[in-house]
Amino acid sequence: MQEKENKEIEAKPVKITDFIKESNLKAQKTDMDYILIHRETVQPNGAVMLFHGLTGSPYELKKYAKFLYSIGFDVYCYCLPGHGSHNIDIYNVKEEDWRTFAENTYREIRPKYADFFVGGLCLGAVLALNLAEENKDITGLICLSTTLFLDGWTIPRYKFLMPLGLHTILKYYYTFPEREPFGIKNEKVRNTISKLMKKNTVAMDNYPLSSIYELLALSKRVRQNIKKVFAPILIIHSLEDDLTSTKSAKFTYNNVSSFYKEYMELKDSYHLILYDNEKEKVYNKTTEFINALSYKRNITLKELQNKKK
Amino acid sequence: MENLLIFLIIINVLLIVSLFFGMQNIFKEETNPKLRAYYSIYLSVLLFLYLAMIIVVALHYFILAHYGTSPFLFMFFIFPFAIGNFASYKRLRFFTFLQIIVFILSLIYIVYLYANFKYI
Repeated sequence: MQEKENKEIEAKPVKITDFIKESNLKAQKTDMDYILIHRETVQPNGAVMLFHGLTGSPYELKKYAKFLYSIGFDVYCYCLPGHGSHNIDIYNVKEEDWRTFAENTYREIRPKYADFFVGGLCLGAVLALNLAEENKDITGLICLSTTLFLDGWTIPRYKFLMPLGLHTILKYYYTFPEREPFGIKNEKVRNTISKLMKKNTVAMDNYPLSSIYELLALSKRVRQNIKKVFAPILIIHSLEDDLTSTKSAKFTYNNVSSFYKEYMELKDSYHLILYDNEKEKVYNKTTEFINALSYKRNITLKELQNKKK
Repeated sequence: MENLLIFLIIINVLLIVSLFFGMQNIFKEETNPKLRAYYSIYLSVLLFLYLAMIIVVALHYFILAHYGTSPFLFMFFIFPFAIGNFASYKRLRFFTFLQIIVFILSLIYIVYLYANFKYI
């Protein structure tokens, strides 16, 4: 099983295609480097567009994507600019590139579906929020381990030196090595991810400071405009998140203008909640949230609130 | 103050040598990421010390009414941030050399200050 897992993700940017082929599902990879999971013969309930985290890859969303597909949605997992290829690429990427990429792909796909959810993990969640600030026709937002502040408990003690790196030439030299616990509390999963990371197949083994600089710039932008988010939102965050504390999630929950918002805290996971001890809770909550919103397309916000009560 | 200048000269020399050495030998694709990380932290610490001391020395000269000296020192304080602002990964080598040249100029100036220290 272990070997099979490794084999699945060897090809870049996402070996998820092979995974889907094995499952007799239809997978397409285009020049935009995205993976679409759908079955041609079945009319989907809607679509979910997912973005992965900083220095990650769509691999980290693989199981979640498959799960969303299983509840009747077409799923688009994107490989963000600077990711999924050579490490050097990420140095040349600015936060505008991520935003433009997300915006363009969203505009291209959105008209095809009545219900359209956007979500992501870490940087992906921040990008989803940014999309919701610009577009008012998103059915729902799924924000997992949203990284609006970089204040988790594994952030190194020498963090105070970061401004020096961020604003000088050192931003291209300074890197944070990825280290234990790799955002995962479950030791078994952690060991598997650790082995895969050594092969540099699922994620980069370090965070270049320049990419953190871009993430912080994007986070700042999103924080400034967060009142413009009106889409229903689901926020899931772990109390023990090692990269970003619940401050980010609470900030999002308290400041978005959405009428319908849900917040769930996990107690036995770190940052990568889709792979950790409570992934089932994440799946169940997502189902609950999606069902609430796509059960009846013309449902009013008031009805939604009553339903929630 | 004399000791501070000596210390600043040492830090300055270390910065020049370390940045040059790092560019030639450490910051390469094949280098272990951990080594690159620790080396960049080492450079950050050096830069932090350099900037802190530059400010102290500049303030010292300002208090002593050497108004011609302080602006030069403040300029050396600002340069790393200005270069960082304009730098891009594509032209990183060029900007690193530019940074090294600025450090060399500041070293020359601080040595000059040290040589004339007794006249203050």
